[in-house]
Amino acid sequence: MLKVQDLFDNRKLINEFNKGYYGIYIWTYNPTGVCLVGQSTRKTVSGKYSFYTRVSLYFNDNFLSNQLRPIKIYDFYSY
Amino acid sequence: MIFIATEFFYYYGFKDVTLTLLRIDPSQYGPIDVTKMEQYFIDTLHSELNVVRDVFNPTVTSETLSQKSKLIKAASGKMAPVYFYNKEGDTLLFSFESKAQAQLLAGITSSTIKKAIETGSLYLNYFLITTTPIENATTESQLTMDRASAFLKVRNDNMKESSYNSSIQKPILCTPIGILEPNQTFLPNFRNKACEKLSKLEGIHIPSKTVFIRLQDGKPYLKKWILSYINISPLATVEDSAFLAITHKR
Repeated sequence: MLKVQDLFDNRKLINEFNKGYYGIYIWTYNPTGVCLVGQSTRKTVSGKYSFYTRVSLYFNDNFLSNQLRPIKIYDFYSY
Repeated sequence: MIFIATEFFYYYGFKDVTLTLLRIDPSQYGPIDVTKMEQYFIDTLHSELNVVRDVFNPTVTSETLSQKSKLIKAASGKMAPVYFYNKEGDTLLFSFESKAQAQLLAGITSSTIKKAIETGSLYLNYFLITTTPIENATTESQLTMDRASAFLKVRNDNMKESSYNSSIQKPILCTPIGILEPNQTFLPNFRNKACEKLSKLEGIHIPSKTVFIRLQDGKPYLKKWILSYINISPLATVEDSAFLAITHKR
């Protein structure tokens, strides 16, 4: 199990941890404990299991800007 | 699901977010096991941001999405606590950290709370709601959240029941939409009679409960009829008030 707080700075760590595995991820908002549970069993283009692609969607510029187009992307990043 | 999560991150940012990762060996477990484990965590953590509650039967309605969306927006605002006192305002029964929490835990919408605070009316004819604590009130007999939810549910059911029963003998005006011909607008004295008459006209069974709901929300029934109560003064006869209602509509 891996717990990460500074997500953006620890992207490489997350990637390394996930390589070759199925995964469950839990996003938790610390002040209230509100959380989101998800999973990934997909393979990457290279044929290896990695759920980093799935997890990294949440802090991917293009993904977020496509989801909430009218809002400036910089507003998302308060870290 | 992703949309709700991104919306959440938009309002809260990533600053106070922790990501917990669990890795599972594909050589020992299959995708079904991973899905079972996901369901386990959704159930045990009560993950509010998961729109799909049952991962084996994923169904998402637009209502669920909009409810979650509203909840997140409401929760991102200032955290103003909401206090629930008894009628007299001398005993604090329970409180929530915010309006969003009240909606999440007890199903009381923020508009209901806002209305109760603005008008000073008692919620469910019993609770005095404030956003500022009353100094002289005792806080010793506060209910736990489970007991408060149960108490609210009982009060809510009682209110609905008494509202349903007290409205049974009110006269009802049934008006067809579009055309307003006096001979098609009729006024049964009681809800049961309204049901009987509408059933005869439409050729289907019309339950009293359905008529009651349409009377409450004011939506057209079967897209054909507008149903409304008529307030009768003690001196006026039923026919008089029907006449007044029809001429007023014209």
